[in-house]
Amino acid sequence: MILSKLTRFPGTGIPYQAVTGNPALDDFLIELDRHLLGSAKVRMQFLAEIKDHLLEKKDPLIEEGRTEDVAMTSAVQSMGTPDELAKSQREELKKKYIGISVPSGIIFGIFMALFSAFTHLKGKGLVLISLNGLQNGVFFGLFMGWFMTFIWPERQLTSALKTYLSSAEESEFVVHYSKWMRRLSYPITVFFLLMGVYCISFGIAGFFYISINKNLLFPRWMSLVLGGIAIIDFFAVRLCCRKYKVNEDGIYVDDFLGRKKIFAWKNLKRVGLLGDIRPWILRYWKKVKYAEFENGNHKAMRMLVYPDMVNADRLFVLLDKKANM
Amino acid sequence: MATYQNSAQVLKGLLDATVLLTLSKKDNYGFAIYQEITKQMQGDADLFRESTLYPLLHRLESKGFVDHYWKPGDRGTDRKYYRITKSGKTHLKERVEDWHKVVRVLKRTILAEEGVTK
Repeated sequence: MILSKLTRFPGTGIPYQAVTGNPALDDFLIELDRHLLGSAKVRMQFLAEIKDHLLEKKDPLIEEGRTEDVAMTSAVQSMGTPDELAKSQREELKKKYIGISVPSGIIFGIFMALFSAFTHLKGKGLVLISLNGLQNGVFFGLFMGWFMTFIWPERQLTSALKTYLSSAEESEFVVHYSKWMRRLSYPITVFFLLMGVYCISFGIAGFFYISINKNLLFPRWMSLVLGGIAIIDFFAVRLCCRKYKVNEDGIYVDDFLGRKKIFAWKNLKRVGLLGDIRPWILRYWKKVKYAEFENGNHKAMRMLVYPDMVNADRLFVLLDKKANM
Repeated sequence: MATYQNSAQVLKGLLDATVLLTLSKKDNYGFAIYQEITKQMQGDADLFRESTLYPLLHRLESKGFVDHYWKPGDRGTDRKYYRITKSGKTHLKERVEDWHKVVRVLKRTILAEEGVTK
């Protein structure tokens, strides 16, 4: 019961938007929802897809002369059992949970163990404090795995490598990434996020000589270093969480707080070379620079393209064509 | 029942390629994909059950062969459309080559001896 609440948060009931008023369909969707995992939004999307299928299936059956209830019952029966349908979704989320929590937990655990060992000045209990750091890191990783799989997956917090461009008019400009990069995206971003949280908390505590752990003592300058690392981490996470969409109006940018911004083609001007590729943070990003000129205000917009994006060149061609130069 | 299960096992690998092939023609939503495939399968359409379509689509999506977007449907509500990715196209090409090989081998072996087994 507790596990069910943890993996179906928030709310364990069927999302009200899924209810149709047709008893056969509603019963099926309620039963299906019981077999699904994830947040209400994730389950709602799954149910919406199945509901749409069943409603589409029902229409030709009515045209054949069946009543609505009989047609819907028949459509529902042809769909198989709810357990069979939901099985893939459950397995997918479990796989995702393991994919996020295990690598990020291990990476952050090692980081915390090394950090604990490095900042340990008393000379006693070095192994113990390192193991303690490792254990804390693993628990952090497991927590973040749960949070980002079952609670906040729809926000795509870890969209570092899922950043995409889509266009209704030109569907070929969907960004494609290679398999290994997609797999690495979650652990990398979770790692950045966790490291940022850790650095800020220990940095502040260290600066004011507050002892979070009695065995951990480090000089004040270390707080400044941690603060600097935290800023870099959050900057990286912020960049990772951006999504770009392109259509005939311009570039739409969604940041990780859900704020939306449009850079209209007509107001957009290019700064420097389009598709200028610069080595920056171990050549991880390619940088494309734009600037927006509107009402005399100069706002710079930086668009980052990941090196693993296999169709980056085509994106540059699109932007070059669209931007008002 | 045994015949159905045997056929389903053989068809399982084929369906991945069939769904990808359908999506390589145009982006589509679940029910339309199902209709397209059953139309292609003609008399053997009963071997492709609706309950297998969505797990199959989700599996292809998790492997990165397809992705999705939401677009308003005929009923006014958002409908989930699937589209094939570049790696999906590559995978499809490889599977088609595999199936060509299978057909060649079948023609030289089991199907060539069909008269004997009848």
